[in-house]
Amino acid sequence: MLRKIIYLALLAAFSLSAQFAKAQTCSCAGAPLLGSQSLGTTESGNLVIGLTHEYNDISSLYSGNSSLDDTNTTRATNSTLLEINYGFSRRLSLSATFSYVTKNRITGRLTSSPDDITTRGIGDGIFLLKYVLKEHSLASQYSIALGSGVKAPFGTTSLRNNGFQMNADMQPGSGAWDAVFWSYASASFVPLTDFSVYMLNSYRLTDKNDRFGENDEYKFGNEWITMVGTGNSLTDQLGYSLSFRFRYTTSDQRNSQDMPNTGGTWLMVNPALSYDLFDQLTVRLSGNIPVYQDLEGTQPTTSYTASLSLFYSFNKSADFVKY
Amino acid sequence: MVNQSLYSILLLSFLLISCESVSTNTSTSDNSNTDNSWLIPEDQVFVGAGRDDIPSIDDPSFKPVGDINFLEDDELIIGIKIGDEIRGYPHQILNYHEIVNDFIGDEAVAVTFCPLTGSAMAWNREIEGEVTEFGVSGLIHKNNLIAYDRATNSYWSQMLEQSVNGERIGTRLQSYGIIEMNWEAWKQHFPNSEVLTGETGFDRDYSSYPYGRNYSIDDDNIVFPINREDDRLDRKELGHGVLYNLDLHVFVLSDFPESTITVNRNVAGENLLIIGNSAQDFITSYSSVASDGTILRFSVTEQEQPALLEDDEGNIWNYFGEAISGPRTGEKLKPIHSYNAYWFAWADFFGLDPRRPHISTP
Repeated sequence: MLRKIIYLALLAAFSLSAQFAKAQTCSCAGAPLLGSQSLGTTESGNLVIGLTHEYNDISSLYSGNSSLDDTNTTRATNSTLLEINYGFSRRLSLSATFSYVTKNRITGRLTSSPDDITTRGIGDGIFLLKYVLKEHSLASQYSIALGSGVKAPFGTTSLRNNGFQMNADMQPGSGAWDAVFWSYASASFVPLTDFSVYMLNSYRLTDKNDRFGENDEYKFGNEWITMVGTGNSLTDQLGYSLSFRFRYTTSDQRNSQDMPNTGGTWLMVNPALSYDLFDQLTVRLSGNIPVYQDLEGTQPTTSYTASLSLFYSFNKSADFVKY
Repeated sequence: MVNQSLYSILLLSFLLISCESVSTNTSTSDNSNTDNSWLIPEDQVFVGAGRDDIPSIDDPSFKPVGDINFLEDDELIIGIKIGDEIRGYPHQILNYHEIVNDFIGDEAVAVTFCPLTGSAMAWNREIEGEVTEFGVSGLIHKNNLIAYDRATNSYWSQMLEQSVNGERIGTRLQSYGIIEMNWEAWKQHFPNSEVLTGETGFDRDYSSYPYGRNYSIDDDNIVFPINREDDRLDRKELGHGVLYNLDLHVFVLSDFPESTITVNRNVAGENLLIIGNSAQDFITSYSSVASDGTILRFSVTEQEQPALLEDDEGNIWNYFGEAISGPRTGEKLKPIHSYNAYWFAWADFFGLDPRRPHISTP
């Protein structure tokens, strides 16, 4: 009973924080959908549900790889991600991710009347089928899994302010079905420990939307994310991971022409701590700290992110949070 | 437990679905404009950025021409003369700000430039006895700047030169005559002028181009939809448009030779003087009718700067249409309703079928 109460309380807290957290987030790159799937694969018959809340502070302004000291505009995005993972068999599992996004933008902070706008709504979702090519076992130090799926445009792209459709980076959704490809590989080199190194790749091949009308095609840039890191257990309950997160997006295109001030390269450090509250419930705290950004033109970009996640495994499993 | 979890997920989903919204939390109660009447079709207005996300320059800083070292010779600059003061506003700075709220002498002036349509103009900021500032609204009409005034939050279309929404809807502003040319020519013609610097109060990389290095020549680089196309000219041809009696006559800069020439032309019943030099990226126009009704004939003078023109009465005129010697010394040529913009913008704004802009050759 106590577990149920704690679970529901945390669930409510997450959902409420998404609705009422102001002075936070924004920008279309702000919703961390791709690469957010925090599990490798799920074992046969197990159901793992994850709930993540991420705060993305997008107050930095970059021109190319140079940081500009800008205090005129602040942006932040709060994303709540609901992840459902189910293992159909020893090798095949499904991961579904749903999002709720709150974006805030304050412009004209150096004028006498700043403009403070917050949008919120259901964001897009991702469905991934994952297949384990090689299982980790006593005989094998390696595991490899591949996956593919779609990013579904659940999020609206038509929120309006003063009668006008807001620009794309303030909309919860992208308005297009995208193809998603995924891979995960890990290796454990030290016997009798949980020490491992891993690499996760995600690629989103974007499709077009009609934000400017039916005869006008707009396409967000394709997105590539690679995470390379290491993880280990510190105690029976406490684990850590440290990874580098590389993200590259091509420029957005309108009618096949690259749009200015879109696309770029990001390299971030991603530290994380996880703690097993109960056998089946794990909490994870993580963040992203930019170490290098090289952007097309001048763009607002992430100053840092902070995430809090809960994972509940319906089958008792000692190691369902991989990093 | 499974049932409990499914219930929780459904509950969460319901909470999320019920909360799709936009909210504003402006710091002043009169910050928003709730007037729904527009002089332009609302479906042609796009949100390009947040209000003041492109910050206007409200405390501009100037330096003498000789101290300016950040401009390449081919960069364009907007020039204005009020009283004895001549000021230059480089596109390179305005690309990132679009509006400069300035005072020249006692005149409150807003210099505006839209990088997407290549159009520049200057307005008197004193409206009905009150000086206001203009800001970049973030709204875009046919790729063109929509400014807002900070006194009433009314919206102003730059290329239509009037308020298109809000308390001041339909109001036209007093415009100042401006000229444009490249930096190489400006240095030569106005060595004693003051030029806007990058000390704007904002940290920007003014050596870069917010819409791409080749935006001004790349016909495919159009950021927002075009409603009306006219393929008689390339989209990014820079044209000097003269608006008279609902007729638009566009003089294309690249049609002018690489030396300054004058064109005395009757357009829609009005006697006009067009002056252009493609090597200097310079083209402007005035009425050739003097204040007493005399129609003057102009030619380029051989005299040294700041002289530009001479007329058939022996007067010498400068770039800003001021007689600097001769019997009409002190007189000023009447400015006409004209400015520069890319061809695609002229066609989109004024190419209402079957009326099309006239393309005029020198």
